Amino acid sequence: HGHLKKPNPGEELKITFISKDGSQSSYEVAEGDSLLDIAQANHLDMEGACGGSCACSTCHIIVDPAYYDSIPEPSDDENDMLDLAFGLTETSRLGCQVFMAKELDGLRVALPAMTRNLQSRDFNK
Amino acid sequence: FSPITHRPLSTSAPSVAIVGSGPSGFYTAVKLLTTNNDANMEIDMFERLPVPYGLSRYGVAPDHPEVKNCQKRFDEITEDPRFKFYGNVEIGKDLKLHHLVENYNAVVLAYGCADGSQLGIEGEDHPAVFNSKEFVGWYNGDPEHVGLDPPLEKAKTVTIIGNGNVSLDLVRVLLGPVDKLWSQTDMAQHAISKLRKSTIEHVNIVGRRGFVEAAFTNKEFKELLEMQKDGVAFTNWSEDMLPPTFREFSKLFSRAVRRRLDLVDKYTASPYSDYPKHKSWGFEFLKSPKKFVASESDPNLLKETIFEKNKLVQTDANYPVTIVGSGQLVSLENEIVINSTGYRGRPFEEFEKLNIPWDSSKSRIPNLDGRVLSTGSIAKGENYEFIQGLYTTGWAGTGPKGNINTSLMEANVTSTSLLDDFEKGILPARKSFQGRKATDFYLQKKPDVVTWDMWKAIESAENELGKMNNKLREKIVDVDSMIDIATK
Ligand SMILES: Cc1cc2nc3c(=O)[nH]c(=O)nc-3n(C[C@H](O)[C@H](O)[C@H](O)COP(=O)(O)OP(=O)(O)OC[C@H]3O[C@@H](n4cnc5c(N)ncnc54)[C@H](O)[C@@H]3O)c2cc1C
Ligand code: FES
Repeated sequence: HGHLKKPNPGEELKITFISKDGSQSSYEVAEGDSLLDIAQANHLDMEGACGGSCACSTCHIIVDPAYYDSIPEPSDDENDMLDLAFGLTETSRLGCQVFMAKELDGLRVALPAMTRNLQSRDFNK
Repeated sequence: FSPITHRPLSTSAPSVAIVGSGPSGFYTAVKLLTTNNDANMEIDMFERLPVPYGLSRYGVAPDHPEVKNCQKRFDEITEDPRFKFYGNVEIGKDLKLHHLVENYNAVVLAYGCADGSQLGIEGEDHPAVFNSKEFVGWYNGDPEHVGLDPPLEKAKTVTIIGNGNVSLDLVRVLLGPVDKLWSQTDMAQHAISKLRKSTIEHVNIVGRRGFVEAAFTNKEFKELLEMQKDGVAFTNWSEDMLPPTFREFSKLFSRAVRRRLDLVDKYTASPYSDYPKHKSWGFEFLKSPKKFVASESDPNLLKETIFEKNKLVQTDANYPVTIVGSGQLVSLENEIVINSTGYRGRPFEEFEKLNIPWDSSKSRIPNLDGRVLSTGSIAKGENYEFIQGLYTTGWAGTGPKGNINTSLMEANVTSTSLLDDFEKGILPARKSFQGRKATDFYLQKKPDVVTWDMWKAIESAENELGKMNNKLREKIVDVDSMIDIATK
């Protein structure tokens, strides 16, 4: 999966992903690529279980607040799926619904841990 | 002491047996194989049926093929040479659980929930009272339930007890326009034919609690409300279904609950309410089923269901609320009932002998982060002890709740525990007769083990049949035919 367009020379857009462990990876990508495709093409830990159909929320990302308002607002469908995402924040989005655009050059997003906290499960004795 | 603790410890790359090939079993394999690169690791997956994917194949509604896209990821991982699929091998029957425990460093129980839940009330054994497990299995072509044959051509009203997303799936199935919604999906042909003859006009969705507490999600709710355009009306809505001060204080509720009410407001106003109504569905909240009453004219149908009305009690300012029975009885007329209050798991027969615990009230294997607790440790309540090398994940470990998304989370938790234990050197060593080698030895007398390639042959046959019938896929619905195709 993850077929990325090659950016035209001079039109590269920069995006940085921050992983759970804090490590940062930056890429130069073309306009129109979804964040899910970018992450998967670069083997980042983003599951995208429904293949970008806005039906699973396993592509949850947290957007740097500085960029959040530059992204077109989420659709109702995206909001419905976000309501089900783990560790929802004020600047959460679904990676499959956010597409690179000129206004988003330099975008920074964090990948939330796709796991609940270890040692946190309640269980009945 | 359990025979499976206190064994010599393993140092080489683990060989892992995964019982079940549903989303949680597969995501566990994905995580293990992508995290550990040791060429000597073995991941062997056992599936009772000749076909994989669990409830992704036999639960998820046929009109939601995008939800099944996770299967592509599962297919990818099977290409890893360290992975092996053993289809048509039921653990506990074709191969005993103790064989796995003795021969693998780790066993992951990811076998989901095999049964439908029971209400335990009068009339439940009536032939017109179905369980969602069997009804869903029927339309999804689950070999266990293809013979169900619900009398949809004789009934007008169906009551669905329980109000999660599965109940909304059932409403779409019962009322949705067959040609638009179903005929091109992988819904089993026998179900499509039956739905074409259906005379169902109205479906009730009954909840013990209220609108705010209902378990369905907004995307599925909206999908159903949209069916007003196809003549399937949302009826019976009443403001009484909301707590009295709900509108005033809606800010106190989660965004999801507020959006749920927005949907009601939008779809009960025109133009949605003006579409012609051919069929309808609606909620019946605050009702607990007490008894099913048979029809006097047709022994295969019901006359009505008797419910006790409930009252919501809010013990403090925060939800969730609880309910108490009011003692007052009400009746809903219905010819068919589907109990959609969930699935139930069951322990293996061998659990007792192997000292593996089972929590029957929550329908799951007691565990902490996927590590199965030893029975004695649960009784003590603190300072948990684990059964070395035994793990669980998905519905087997959480009970029947959550979706594919949560299966992924749970699988990640369980595989992290397993790999941590491996790193710490506390996985038991296998017998000198090891993992996959032992399995292949035990199974050499079983001629119909289905390998991954054989499953792919079944799948091609299904795709081929689907093409002929102008459908996404035509599932093979009996195990013998599956095996025939696989072993040809
Ligand atoms: C009707 C329905 C609709 C659903 N729709 C959605 C949806 O739209 N979106 C969504 O995200 N989630 C949906 N879910 C939830 C989702 O299907 C589950 O969360 C998920 O399948 C749980 O995965 P699991 O691996 O734990 O169990 P399962 O999927 O049940 O897998 C268990 C597997 O183990 C096998 N097995 C059992 N016993 C043995 C044995 N003794 N030996 C070998 N193998 C064995 C079973 O045959 C099965 O293949 C739905 C569930 C249902 C019931
Ligand atoms: S990939 Fe499923 S919602 Fe984005």
